[in-house]
Amino acid sequence: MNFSLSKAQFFLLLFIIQTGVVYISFQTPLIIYSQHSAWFVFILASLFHYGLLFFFERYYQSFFLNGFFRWVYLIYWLLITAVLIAYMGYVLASWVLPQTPEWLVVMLIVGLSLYANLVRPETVINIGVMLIPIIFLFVIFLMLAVPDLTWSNLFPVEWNHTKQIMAGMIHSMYAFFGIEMYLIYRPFLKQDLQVKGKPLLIYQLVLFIFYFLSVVFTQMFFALEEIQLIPEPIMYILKSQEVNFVKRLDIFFIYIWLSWSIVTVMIYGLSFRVLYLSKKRKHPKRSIVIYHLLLAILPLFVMQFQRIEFVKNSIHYVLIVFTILLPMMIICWNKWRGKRVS
Amino acid sequence: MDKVEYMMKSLQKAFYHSSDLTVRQIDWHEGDTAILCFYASLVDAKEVQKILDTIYARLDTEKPFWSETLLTTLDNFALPQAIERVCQGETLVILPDMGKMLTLAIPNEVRRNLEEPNNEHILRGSHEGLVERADTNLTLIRKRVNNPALVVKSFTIGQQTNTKAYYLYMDGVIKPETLKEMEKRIADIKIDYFYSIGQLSDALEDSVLSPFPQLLNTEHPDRVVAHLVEGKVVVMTNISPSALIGPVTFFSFYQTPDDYNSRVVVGSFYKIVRLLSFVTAVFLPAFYIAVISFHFEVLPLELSNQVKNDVNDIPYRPLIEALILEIIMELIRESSIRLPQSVGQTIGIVGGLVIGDAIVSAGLVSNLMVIVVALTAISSYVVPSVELNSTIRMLRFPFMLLASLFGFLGIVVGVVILLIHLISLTSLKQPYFSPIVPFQPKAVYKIFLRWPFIRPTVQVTSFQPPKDEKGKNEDTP
Amino acid sequence: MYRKGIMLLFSMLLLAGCWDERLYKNASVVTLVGVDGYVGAYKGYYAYPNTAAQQNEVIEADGISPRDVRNQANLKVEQTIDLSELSTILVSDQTVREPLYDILDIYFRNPQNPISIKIAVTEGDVKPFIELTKDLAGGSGDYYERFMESTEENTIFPKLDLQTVGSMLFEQTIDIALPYIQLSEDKKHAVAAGVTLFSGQRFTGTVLTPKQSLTMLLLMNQPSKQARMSYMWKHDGKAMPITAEVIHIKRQWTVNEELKRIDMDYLIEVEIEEFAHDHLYKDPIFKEVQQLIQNQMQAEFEEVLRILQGQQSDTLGIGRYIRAYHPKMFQKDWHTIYASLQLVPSVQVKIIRTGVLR
Repeated sequence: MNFSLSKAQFFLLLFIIQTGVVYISFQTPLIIYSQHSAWFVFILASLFHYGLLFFFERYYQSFFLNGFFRWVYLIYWLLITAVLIAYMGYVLASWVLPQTPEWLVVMLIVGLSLYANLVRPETVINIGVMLIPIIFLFVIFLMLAVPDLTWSNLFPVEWNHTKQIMAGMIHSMYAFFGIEMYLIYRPFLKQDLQVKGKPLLIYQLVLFIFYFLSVVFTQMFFALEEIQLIPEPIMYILKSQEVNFVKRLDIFFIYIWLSWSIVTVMIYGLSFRVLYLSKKRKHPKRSIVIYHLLLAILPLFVMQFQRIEFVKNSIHYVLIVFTILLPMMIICWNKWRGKRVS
Repeated sequence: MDKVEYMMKSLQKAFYHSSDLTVRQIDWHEGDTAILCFYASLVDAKEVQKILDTIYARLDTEKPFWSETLLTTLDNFALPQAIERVCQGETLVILPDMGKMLTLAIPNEVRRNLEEPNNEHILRGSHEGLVERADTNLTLIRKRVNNPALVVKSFTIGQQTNTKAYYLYMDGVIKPETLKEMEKRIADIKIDYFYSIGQLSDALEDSVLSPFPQLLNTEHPDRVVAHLVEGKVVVMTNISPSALIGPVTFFSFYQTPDDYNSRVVVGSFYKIVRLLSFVTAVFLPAFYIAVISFHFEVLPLELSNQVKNDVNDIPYRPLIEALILEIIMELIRESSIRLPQSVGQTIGIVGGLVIGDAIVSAGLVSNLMVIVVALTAISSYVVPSVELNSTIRMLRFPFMLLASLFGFLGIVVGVVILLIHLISLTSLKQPYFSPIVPFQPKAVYKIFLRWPFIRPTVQVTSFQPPKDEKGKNEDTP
Repeated sequence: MYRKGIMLLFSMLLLAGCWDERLYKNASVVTLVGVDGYVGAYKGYYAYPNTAAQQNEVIEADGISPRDVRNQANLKVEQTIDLSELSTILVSDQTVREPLYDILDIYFRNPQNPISIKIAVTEGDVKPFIELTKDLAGGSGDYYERFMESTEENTIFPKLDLQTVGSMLFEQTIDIALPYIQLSEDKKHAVAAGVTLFSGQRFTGTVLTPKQSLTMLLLMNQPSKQARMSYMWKHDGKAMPITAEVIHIKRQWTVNEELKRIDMDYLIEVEIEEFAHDHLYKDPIFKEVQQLIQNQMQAEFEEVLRILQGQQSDTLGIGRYIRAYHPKMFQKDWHTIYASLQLVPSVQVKIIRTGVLR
């Protein structure tokens, strides 16, 4: 794989990976577990994330994956993508397409990702650019809900329940999943570009504001008892807004979210390509097709209410292992061995 | 049989005894004979006679370079060369005794006036248009760029037709890889009989099967010059007024000379309007179909009552309804192009008003669908380029089909496919969808706005982002 | 072979596609729903426009649950009943004695139903309210939506939609007050008759009069475009009406956690809209008028607060305030605490404008 990234492309790529799919739904578990202090816990989690970014930037050169860990990550991504696709299919089925067969929706999503991944890698890297304006739209239309917000929902902030704060921190992980991609794509950044300092801070700030708005809005819009019943709060907020020319914003935004998520799936496909083809392989095209075939089959086993719930309630532990602990371990080990990414 | 007669016979044979070929024996200096050979259809006979008279006069003075004038040359005789020259419209005087031939390059000037191109009307600026003659076209361009760095290279297309063609570029501005790629493609052209510009663009384009044109087609010399100074190659032929320009981006099809001839704010405004028209032209019918048959809850209550009243008694499904109207629309367009201008307008009125009104009162389609289709048609004609505008009109059919199958989901799928295609498309191996790919945030505004100071920009050459992000790519040449 | 395969796949798609297609022309777009009855024996009314006759059809059905009622109603309509363009729900005052969420669940659960719609409680049966829209040229739902929106602008009904109602139903700390409508005497119009007070999910049986609901909205600091009050001013044995319009409200709640007492200070700035006596530039008159409005409002505030506390209906959201800023004072069973609170309103009225006359 031979391509290089500019700073804008690199951070755009990360942004899409980190926000895709989960943006409409990660607020629910966070608020359920940390109650009124959710917004505060999220600030803490963001600080932690910023620290993590710093750590990754400092030591990314030591993130050398040997054959075993390469396979670990390939399989992890395959499964994560399958779960994401299953969730996308499930949300689509419950919100807009109750009758359309699930396999068809999954096929469409996977087919698009396959097409994008069979052409040159720059396509996947740059397609996120088209999402920038519509992501802006998301935030602008969320602002319509401002008159309906209840400020007193943000209080009281409770400090003394460490367990509650910890649970909230762990569930904030949803917002930051996919951060291991930083390590994967960082070596592709053009050699002479500086990322440390201002660019990293700007990225963190944009990501933080984008997520924080959604957390705060959700918290102020719904009562605590109510949020437990609402798995996709952002969609629900948009559903209750009415503008002059459109009665139901959620219908548009569910599809905007879908295209956004499809790009995320494509980027996971690209990461697979990058990692798998970092060694010379005989049939690069064939392996991409097989990866997507698996993607088309695996989600079908997850697309049920109870299984989706199970995944939602447990996947953050998996995320912690693969996005934080394992990269740190690998970096430390390689640091100790003195091995670096060439 | 004497030598001269034999030679004449063989010349006749070489030209397959064509009726418009003249082969005649004439007297030459001091009792020699010569053979005059030319295509009567290609040569300006009066002028030839004048020059020949001059040369006769010179022969008598016995000057050493009697044969050299601006229009004549003396070469050794060789039959293949002789044939080639005659075919190019030159007049040949063969001197069998000396074994030489005198060529007079005085072709018959057949050309039309420099009229404004019919398919690219502009409001302000130059109204000259290219014509079907390469030298006139070169004159028009040289007139605008008085600089030796404007390089013209000639080549021939068609192994049988031997049509003359040129490619032009500004040396020092053009990127070497662009030039190399174009030269490689020109060398690879394998056409026997060349008669249409479409053959050339098919041979030069990156992906022929893509619906999007990858070479810009224009008849405006000022547009050609504007692209030359941006470091592009222009290919022109002797048989068509169109100049092919490459590499281009998708957005250059949305520019017209008018943007730069009018004022900054006005130019920017219309540029934005034109780009928005892309959205309505491609997506509006699909969107309407999706709303009517899948997601009518998005309509606000007041509007929904109107829509409901309108569509309630339509017998067909929305897709069929839209197809009926769209096909009528395309028929009207086709017929009005083929018919003479005076009748064309009548057809427009009959088609637009009479059929449109009758089809609604007959209850075949709804009023709203007429509005949607008419709006779409108008938006699609906004695009300044003829090729892209037909592409856009064609693109909406797959979108309509997808929308009728899956509603908005279909549209999303279509959009993603379209984007992947556009982003991976190349024009002369250079990104077609620049500056979106590679993403250059600082260049994006240029898509929408026309900046006061027109600084020619060199298109990016590769899918890799430029080294220095501060915009090396937009260097003034 | 390859091509044939593609063709086959494509035609299969064309034939089998459109799973979720709901053609607009095949749907009966219901804009107004009425609910009557109780769990196990619901009665539902669905009004949808009949485009040919420029009238509204009303379908009536029985069933064990709101959703079942709709299924039963579907049997009586030639097209499918579709609630995605619904704009108003009317519920009879008997039905809301039971938990309100029971009938609203289907509207929250189904993604096609809008939740930015209005809900109101009717006096007695819903049926006459629905039937009176039969002859309207416009949609039935539109009629009630417009009706309620204009009443909201006059600060009689609180600004609510289904989503905000649902949000409050789930919360202990605030109660809802739904619009209450009566029939006019000739049975041809709906009349705004104040608001119904809820305690938790249930209707308490108490209805505030329009004047009281205006006072309640002022207490909630939610004056809408117009909030007008008229009083009689007795001067020299003559009675003279005064109308004042509320311009601004400043609200300050001071909580004393030990005494369980809340001092509610309101500064209300008004404009005089009607005062035939004129001469407000004379200081004594001005002062007297200002004092009169202040006293009257003070009395009204006290009365409304007494009713609200008596019915254990915390429509002001005092619970929300206490939970957020005085969490120690807050307890799970909020309603009983609320009833025992000592609420002390104090109103200060300022006339800041007098119209274009002095």
